[in-house]
Amino acid sequence: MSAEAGPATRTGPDEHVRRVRLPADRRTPAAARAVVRSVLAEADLDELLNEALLLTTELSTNAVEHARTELDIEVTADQAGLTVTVSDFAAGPVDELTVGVRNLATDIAEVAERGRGLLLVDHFASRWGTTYLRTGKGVWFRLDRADRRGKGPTTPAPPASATQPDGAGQTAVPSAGAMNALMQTTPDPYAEDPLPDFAAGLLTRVAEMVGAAGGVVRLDRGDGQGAQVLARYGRQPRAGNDLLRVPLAVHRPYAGELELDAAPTAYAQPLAMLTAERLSLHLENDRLRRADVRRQAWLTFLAEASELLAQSLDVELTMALVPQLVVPRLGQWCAVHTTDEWGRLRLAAASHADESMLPQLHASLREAGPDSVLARLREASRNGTRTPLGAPMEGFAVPLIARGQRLGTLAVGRHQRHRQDPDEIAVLEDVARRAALAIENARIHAERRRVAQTLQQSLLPPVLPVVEGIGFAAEYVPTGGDVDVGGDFYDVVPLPDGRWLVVIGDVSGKGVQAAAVTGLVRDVIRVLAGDGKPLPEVLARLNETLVERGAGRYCTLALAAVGPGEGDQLDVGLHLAGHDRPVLLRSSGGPAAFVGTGGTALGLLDAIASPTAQLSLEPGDCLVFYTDGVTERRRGRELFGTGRLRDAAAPLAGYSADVVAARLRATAINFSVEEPRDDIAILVLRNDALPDR
Amino acid sequence: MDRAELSITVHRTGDEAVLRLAGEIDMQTAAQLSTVVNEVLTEPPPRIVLDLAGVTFCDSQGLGTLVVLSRKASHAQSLLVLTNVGEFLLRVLDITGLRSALMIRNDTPTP
Repeated sequence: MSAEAGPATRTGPDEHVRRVRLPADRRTPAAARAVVRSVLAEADLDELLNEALLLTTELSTNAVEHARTELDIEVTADQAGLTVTVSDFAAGPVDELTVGVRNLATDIAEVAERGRGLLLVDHFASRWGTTYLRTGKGVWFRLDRADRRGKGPTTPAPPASATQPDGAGQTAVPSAGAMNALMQTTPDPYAEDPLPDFAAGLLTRVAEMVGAAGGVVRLDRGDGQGAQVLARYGRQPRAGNDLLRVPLAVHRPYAGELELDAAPTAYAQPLAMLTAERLSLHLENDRLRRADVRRQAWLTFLAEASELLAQSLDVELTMALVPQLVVPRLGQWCAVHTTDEWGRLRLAAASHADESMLPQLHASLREAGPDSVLARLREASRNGTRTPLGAPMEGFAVPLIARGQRLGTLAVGRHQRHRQDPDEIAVLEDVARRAALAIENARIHAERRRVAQTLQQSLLPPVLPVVEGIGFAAEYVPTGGDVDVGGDFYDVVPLPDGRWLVVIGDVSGKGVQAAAVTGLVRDVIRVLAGDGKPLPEVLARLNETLVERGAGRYCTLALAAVGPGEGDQLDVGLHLAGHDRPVLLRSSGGPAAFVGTGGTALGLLDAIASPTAQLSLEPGDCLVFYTDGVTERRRGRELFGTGRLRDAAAPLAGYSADVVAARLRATAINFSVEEPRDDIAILVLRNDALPDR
Repeated sequence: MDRAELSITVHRTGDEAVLRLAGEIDMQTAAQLSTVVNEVLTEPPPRIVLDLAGVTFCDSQGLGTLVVLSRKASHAQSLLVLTNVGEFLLRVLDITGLRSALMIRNDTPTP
């Protein structure tokens, strides 16, 4: 509503100045008119008389009515025109100066009685405005002589502190209406991106107010695109023109400026600054809104990255995943190095936004030397801090640290023409933390699996004994990728009486504890059987041991003592302790049959029943032992089952033990595409007295 | 000359009252005009003619007063007519949009 500067006060030889202090009185306007009238007469400006008297009256009447203090009237006249300032001594802001509207009603009943004073001032005055003084405030107007209005710059400009770039049609003192418009221009709250329109509107208004020939608002959002023109007005500035430049008060990474092709005169400067400030406010808003959106996107990104990384329990896969996550969102290239057991960095995976640059990236990463990337990576790993990488591989390296372990480094190259903002760096460090944890988890997982597999291997005989006349064959399939060791085991032990003991069993549960019980069962059998104890006693003692020490685990077991019988026969004493009955394949043909009598599983009850079954194997006959991993092999909800096993075994009659075992294993595995959920163990015992068919 | 002076003379004829105004109309003298017109309106003639030939100045207060008086006259079944309106005052009436709301009869345009 108000201009910041007062009217120009001029001093010069042709000046006529009169200052009068008048009371707040109804007669004051007339007195003010008298002063103005006499000054106009002195300055030979009678042509302005009507307007000057009217406007002086309006301003002094307002002051008398509203301020109710004494008034100071200052009248200044020169060759060009007249300036009148009416100031009062009331504290506080100028009452809102509302320029009334022109009456449109023709019915007198609807016509307003008041509110025309400023309408007249606004209409007649060349310029008008308000001014703030220490003691109060004032309203002023300027009337220029008709022949002086709108003159070009050849007219000698009014001397002194003047305001006006004397271009054609330019006004130096902004009207209240224009100021109002400048302040009331706001972005469209419903537009998708209201800033360009808003900036253009504001720029146009301020350019018109200061009489700029052209203007531009530039904004660099710090997104790598550099300074962009947000709004433009008028023509391009001519070379050598004075340009008015005001930086926009926005925070990093935003930067911008308002440029006006106008002389930096008294009004132009503050108006440009005011405009820049208004613009900055909304740009800052825009920056915050965008930052917020970006942060939400980063949060989502981090959540997705975490999920991806958490799912990967494979070290190599995790390493390969990290660069894929980082490029190109967070950098132009990315390299993951891991620390080996001697603390050396080894490149694990690398990625570049531009595939064709990948060989060059690898070459740069291989370079050695004090300034090489590798040296910086070592520094990052050693210090455990983010370390910047210098050109040409500009970026930075973050150490990969999980549970205090230095696992390696994550190096990220920044995108060209793009500043890495603090948010991105924080996100990268977060990704590095999560990646390190994922890599560490994958390592631990791999280690556990290795331990489990080693343990399991140690529970199985590395090779089966080779015995004249008896064929042994075993197949063992551990549970797929699972780290848990199954409880299946088998063994072939020599007995003191020259016979051989075939053992196959399944300890309940999985994992290290199950493996420990498995070891216990195996060793107890070896020791007792080696001592020549009868098998029922071995089972009874084992049962006692398991009840006492088995930690609630139980075990099914099939024991078969094999020794030469009559002629070419093999005599088999079969003891089942809750184990599935083995399949007997007669080489003479005939249906495969389950043999043996089920006894009690071990480790459940204090006393067990251990029935013994005696059978003879003719040459070529096979006895097939298996664990429930075979019969419980699943295809969807369907089980492989004992029936299928028997049917699969029947055609194998007469084949060597190795062949029978391998075929049955293949049949069981091929039954389903699923990974085995349980260990699969198959042990085949064959009377090898006859050569293979 | 430091005081606004307004003199008003009233001539009543058959169906109109002619008020000749001479001087300045502003916050000081507008009340004087109101008083005289209100007196005339106690016995409202069909027409009240304000002859402004002698008015050298009239500000927005004066305009407001003319609006109020016109309205009162019309309520009293009378008609307020302005005549001999000066050139500058006509401009002011144009600017403010009052020219079409007030009844103006400039039979002989004032120079």
